[in-house]
Parts: sequence; C-alpha cells; structure tokens
Amino acid sequence: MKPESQPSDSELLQLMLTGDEQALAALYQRRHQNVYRFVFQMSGSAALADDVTQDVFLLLIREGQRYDATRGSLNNFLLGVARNYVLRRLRRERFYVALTKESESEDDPGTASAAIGPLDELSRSETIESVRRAVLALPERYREALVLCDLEELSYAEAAEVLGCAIGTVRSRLHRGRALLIEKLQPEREAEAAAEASKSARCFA
Amino acid sequence: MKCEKFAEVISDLARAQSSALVDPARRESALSHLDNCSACLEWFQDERALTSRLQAMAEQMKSLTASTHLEEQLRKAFREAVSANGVAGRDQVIGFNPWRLWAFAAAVIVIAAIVGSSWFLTRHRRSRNDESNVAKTTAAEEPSDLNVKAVTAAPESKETSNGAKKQIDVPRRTHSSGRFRNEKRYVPPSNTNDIAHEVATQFMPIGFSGPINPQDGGELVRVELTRSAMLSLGLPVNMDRFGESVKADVLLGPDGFARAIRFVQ
Repeated sequence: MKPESQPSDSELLQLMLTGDEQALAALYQRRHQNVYRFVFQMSGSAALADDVTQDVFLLLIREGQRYDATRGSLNNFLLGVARNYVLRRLRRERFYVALTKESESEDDPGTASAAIGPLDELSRSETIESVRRAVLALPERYREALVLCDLEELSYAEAAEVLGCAIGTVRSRLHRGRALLIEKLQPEREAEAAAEASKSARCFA
Repeated sequence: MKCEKFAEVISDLARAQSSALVDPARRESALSHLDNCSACLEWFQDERALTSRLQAMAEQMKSLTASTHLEEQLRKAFREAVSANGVAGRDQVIGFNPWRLWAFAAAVIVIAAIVGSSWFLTRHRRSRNDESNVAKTTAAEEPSDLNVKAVTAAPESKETSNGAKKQIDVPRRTHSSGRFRNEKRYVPPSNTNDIAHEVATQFMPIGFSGPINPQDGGELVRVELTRSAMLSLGLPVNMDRFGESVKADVLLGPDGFARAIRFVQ
C-alpha cells in the first residue's frame, strides 16, 4: 500500500497564494519552529523570536510571489528572511538592556528527563545555559554560521544559501566561531574539572 | 599529516557523526596524527566536548515553539489579505503599495509646481523684456519686403507720425531660448495722417554685405539727407533743389550697419 504523499513546501505555497488557508496552516506548522528556533538562538529573546516569526510569515502571505524555487528551498528562504529581520532588530535594539532575564527555555517542560537525577539535570541545565550565553556573545557572523550548522544542522551548502555567501566562507566562519566558543567556555570547563576533582576527593576521603 | 593540515579538518572531524564531512582516507590520517601530537589531541577533545554541548543545547531547543496565538493572528491577516486582494501575495504581483501611491502623487505635485513656477517666471520676464524693448525701439519696418513699397494711407500702416516708433513683425533672437520668434511690438497711438501721402522708392542695397536675410531682423530708421546723397546712388537730382534735404529710410542690420536705403517723398 502506497503511503499518501505530503505536498511539498512549494506546492503548499502555491495553494496558499491562491487563497487556501489550510495550506498556510500546514506550511506554518511545518516550518515555523525552524524560524522561531533560529531567531531565538540568534537573539536569546522569546519575544523577539515571536515577532520575527510573525513578520516572516506575514511577508510570505503578502509577498509570497518573491520566492523562487529554483534558488533554493522554502525553508532556506524563510531562514534568510528571518536572518535579515533578526539582524536588523538586534542592531536597532543593541543599546537597550533587558531588565529581567528571560528564561523561557529553562521553563520548557520538554527538557526535563525522568531518567536523570535532579542534580544532574541542574548541572546539565547550567551547562547548556552557559553555552547559550557563550553563543550569544559571539560576533553575529560567527554566531549565525554556528547556529545554522551546529544547532540547526544545516549543511554547508544550505547555510551558504541562507547567508548568501560562499561555502568556504561558511566553513571558515564556523571554524573561527567554534574556536572562539572554546575560548569562552574554557574557564567554565576548568571550574567543572576542579569541581569534579573535589567531588572525587570527597568520595575517597 | 601535520598540525596545519589537521587544523583544517578538526572542526569537520569533531562535528562528524559519520564520515560524511571528511573523506575516509583523510579521516584516518587525521586520527593517526592524534596519536603523535598531544596538543592536537587536547584541541580535538575540546572540539568534541563543544560538539556534545552544542548537541545537548540543540536537543533542548528542539521543542521550542512560537506562541500559540501567533498562528491565529497569521490566519486572520491571511483572511484580510485574501478579502482585500482576492488572493494572497498579490501586493507584489501588481506592485500596489499605498506608500508608493502617495510618493507618486507627491512627486507629480512637486513637478507640476516646478513647471508652473518656471512657466510663470518666463512669462513675467518676457513681458518685462517687451516693455523695455518698446522704450528702445526706433522706427522699424518689415525687412522682408525690399521691393517697391509705397507707403499708402492704410489703417494698418506701420509708421508713426514722427517715424520713431512702429509696430513690426521682426524675427528676433530671444535671450532665454536662443530661438527666433515673431513678436509684436507695442505701438503707441499716433496720428497716421502725415504718412498717408508719402511715396517711397525701392530699397537700394548699400555696400557689399550680401543679400539680406529677413530672418536676421533689423531696424528701419528715418533720417534726413541732403539731395546730393542721391547722386552717390545714381539717382537723378533736380539741381534747383540740390541744397534741400530729403527724407530717407535706412535699414540697419543686426550688427548696426546700414544694409539698404529708400527715399521718401
């Protein structure tokens, strides 16, 4: 029995452009998480990620004819639009300082695992939070390459499509970004190692 | 493999879950380099640790999703777009944009204002030039007709009583555009009875200035000469009235030199 094939992104977009609301809903369900995650990882702000995700899909509704399937996938097109929006917003809002620290990701119920103990979970969350902060502290050009390739798991070619640059540029930016990230995380790694050593010493005392 | 070569592949090697990013031969060579170089080994371990941290972070963020009300807002915007345009995405197709429309209207208004003001200024300047020309104009007449021209008593006669000011269709070069145009000069009201009975000879060319082009314009000046001047042009002179003066119209070219003359009685 042949499984029913799902319509492609381009087909959904064409349906949407003819006024099919269900096509929009399907497209949104399929792609909005990628856009939202990318913006959140780039900005660290859930509110901004919401705004940009909305803007990206509004642009698709109003100017969906702009998308050219021969130039890449719709997902990459949406990520490219999201990238432009988020960079613009970050540059505009870089003089503002958040009064409260956003911690949406920590509240996410999906991150908890019953198999891991509460202390391990706390340690893991702290580690991830430190990585998240270090990623956000990277310069934009390295951050976007790292988010796309390491966190969104895009290939070099796909990331180059989103960023509008050569594959070699993506590789070199990723390489440099990872090196910077290791530098930033080095003190925390040393602290972790020291804590681990003292823990072991206590066990054998 | 040397450390420099190893540095080129370390990221790919640390990130690779499979051998997709690095070809097997190069991978084997890089891994064998780690057995001999402790610095590269440490670096590689850092890279692997970073990869595992990033993977953990990505795993945690997999479930991130936008606010639930966002989809409803988008659906609402979609319905509005469809009801406004018939289909979504049409804004781009037909190029409609309210801001563009306003910008276009503003541009039209600005252009119209510029054109209108320049036209008004040109007209104003021209009328001022005309008025100043009237003050300067001396007796002038149509230069195109150099044949016999009896100045008869006619309502449309162009000479004035003292021969000083006339209305004349003379092609003149304007300062602003550099093109010729026919301009009607202002003629003050005058008594034309004096010229009603005048008889004039043909215009006779003076000097060797060549044919006169009517497009060059010119001015006609009424002068009085002694009759002896008629002799120089080969005209018969009544020797009894040799000492008397005679009226003549001299046609001056645009350069100010006399081009032709006719005698008036």
